[in-house]
Amino acid sequence: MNNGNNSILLAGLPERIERDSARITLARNARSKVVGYFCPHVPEELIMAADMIPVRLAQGGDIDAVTAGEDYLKADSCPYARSCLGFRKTENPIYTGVDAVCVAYTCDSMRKNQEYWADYLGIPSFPLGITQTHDRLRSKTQSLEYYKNELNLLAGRLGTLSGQPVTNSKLKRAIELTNRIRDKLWRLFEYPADKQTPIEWRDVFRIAQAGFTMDRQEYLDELTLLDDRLGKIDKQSLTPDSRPRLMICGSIIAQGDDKVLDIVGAAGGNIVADSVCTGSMFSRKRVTLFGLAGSPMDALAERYLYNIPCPFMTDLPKRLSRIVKIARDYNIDGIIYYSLKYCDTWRAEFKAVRDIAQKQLSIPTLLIEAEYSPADIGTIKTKVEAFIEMMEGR
Amino acid sequence: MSEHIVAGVDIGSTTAKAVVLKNGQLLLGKIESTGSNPARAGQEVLESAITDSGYDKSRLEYTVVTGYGRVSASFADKTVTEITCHGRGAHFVSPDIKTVIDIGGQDSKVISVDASGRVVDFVINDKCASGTGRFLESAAQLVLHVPLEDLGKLSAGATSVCKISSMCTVFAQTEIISLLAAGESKENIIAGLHASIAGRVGTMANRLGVKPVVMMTGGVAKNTGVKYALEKELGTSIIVPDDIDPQLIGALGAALIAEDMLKAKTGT
Ligand SMILES: Nc1ncnc2c1ncn2[C@@H]1O[C@H](COP(=O)(O)OP(=O)(O)OP(=O)(O)O)[C@@H](O)[C@H]1O
Ligand SMILES: [Mg+2]
Repeated sequence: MNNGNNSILLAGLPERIERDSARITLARNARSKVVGYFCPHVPEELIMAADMIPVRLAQGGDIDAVTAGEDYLKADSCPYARSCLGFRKTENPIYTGVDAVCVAYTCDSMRKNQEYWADYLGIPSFPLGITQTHDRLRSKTQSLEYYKNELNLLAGRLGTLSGQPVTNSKLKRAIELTNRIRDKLWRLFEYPADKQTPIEWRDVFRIAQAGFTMDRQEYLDELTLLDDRLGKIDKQSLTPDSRPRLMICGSIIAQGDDKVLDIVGAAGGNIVADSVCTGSMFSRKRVTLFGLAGSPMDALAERYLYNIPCPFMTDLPKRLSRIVKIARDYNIDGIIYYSLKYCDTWRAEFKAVRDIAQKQLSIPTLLIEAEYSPADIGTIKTKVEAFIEMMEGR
Repeated sequence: MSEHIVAGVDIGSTTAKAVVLKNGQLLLGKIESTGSNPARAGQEVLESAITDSGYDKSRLEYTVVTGYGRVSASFADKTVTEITCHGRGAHFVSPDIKTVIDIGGQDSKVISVDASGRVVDFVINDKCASGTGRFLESAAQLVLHVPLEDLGKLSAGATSVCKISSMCTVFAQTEIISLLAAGESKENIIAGLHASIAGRVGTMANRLGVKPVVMMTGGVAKNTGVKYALEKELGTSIIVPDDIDPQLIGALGAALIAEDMLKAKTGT
């Protein structure tokens, strides 16, 4: 199947992630504030420009955290949204290590998350409103103005929290660093487009997730090192991977929510691409400053309003054309559509994705609705295995 | 290839089934209940099927195991999902089928197959027992006190079809009790249960697109009332295998795959 290379390249990575969650606690002791955010609609550049440490709170897969979150949100709300509150109660070191959170209003549960963090957990919790557009061209000015205003409010709040106001020059430096991370990460995500790849998507995905809590400069250094090593490998010498090529798309796949990915791997499926908000999308699009005099806030707004693959914010045709493009670029044989149970936003989109994949790509789509509990493993296994048997039978 | 014996075992949530093939021809099939130890139930039904066919178990050359109990069956040479197996078994019985509806004890599945019996698409219901055999079993045994085998016959005598709105097994039982209390006949209630299952499975099937010829497999295919209700729901006739017990189709598919595997292994 694969060549031993990546295991050597990735040795020590999980340990490094663990060390990093400890570092956040240390940083806190050293009086450098840590600001968490959940949704990638929140520009981490703003937190960096206010001289604080950004961490993405995107952990999941932990049933205790889900249950703890039921004190606030109903039992049939999305398990990720429940965990966002629950991890603080189960004393997850990253969630207890934050001094403030930024919460984008991306669904009903996350809106309440923002308020509960402030009112019940007693942590400064900054909202970020986002407009939903139905006609991107005609409503562009208003939605962009609104979003920019929200970003400015957020920048002000962050500056007050740290005592270090966000300035244009600091913002530009943060954008610069984050763009360099994006470029490196994107190179990694491009590798599995080739059948002869020195690194699998699953490993790149883990690296992308590791980045959520890593010091930004250190993360860039790690990525650069890895990129250099991978660049030295002669791709022609690698055995082509003949397993069915899959794309995973849908709800957030949180750090620790490995259930479905593990099942797919064990069943002989090879995920090579994604359209999930914890995967390649962060790196897919840089923040582009327009000219030397360009306003960094304008650039952030443009990038963060229009390039997050969330069906809550994005017009269906745009979502679909993006999925079709990825499927073509990566030569996909089938799509695994992951819908966290009770996540209406993503589940609602499924039919359209399934239909377009059938019509334009002639490939099948498998719907997996999952919770964080192990109770559904049997059914998911059967679905995934049958899906892969079906593709192998062709 | 000389005389050879292969088997397919389908360990479902409710019953364990085994089918034995000799030189690719159906020799025997057997059904036992799964009980609390799925792997053992599978092994036992397999061994007794081989013994019943007059062979020693040492003669068995290849075994494919399917069904939810496949994961723990250490005696398997290979495991394959029920989806692939029901598709394969149904196609073998009747090569012109395009859609297979398997209703078992815990799951219902709708499978589209192509002209060569390969699966092209499928849906499986999630977790909940509504729309499955377990739902009928509990209603028949716990509330209506009629044998499972009589459900089909009884529903044929219905004068009208009761509306059962609860999809949950437990709530449906309560609903049946109140219907009985209101003086509804058992026949009408049973017809209502069948219609409710057909509604559930029909929605699932329509999501996939139902292409004729349609075949029903799994234990519930033996319930003529469900078959009739589903025909009405889908607006198409449904065939149920009669040369072989429809409950054995998954195990038959597994056995056919075992035959393929053995041939591939020995290079014939
Ligand atoms: N003679 C019969 N008449 C009517 N219904 C029957 C009869 N025999 C079995 N059934 C139904 O078949 C069901 C069991 O079917 P089957 O053996 O196909 O399930 P299974 O494969 O164990 O379950 P699953 O596939 O869901 O894991 C029972 O729940 C019962 O409702
Ligand atoms: Mg079955």
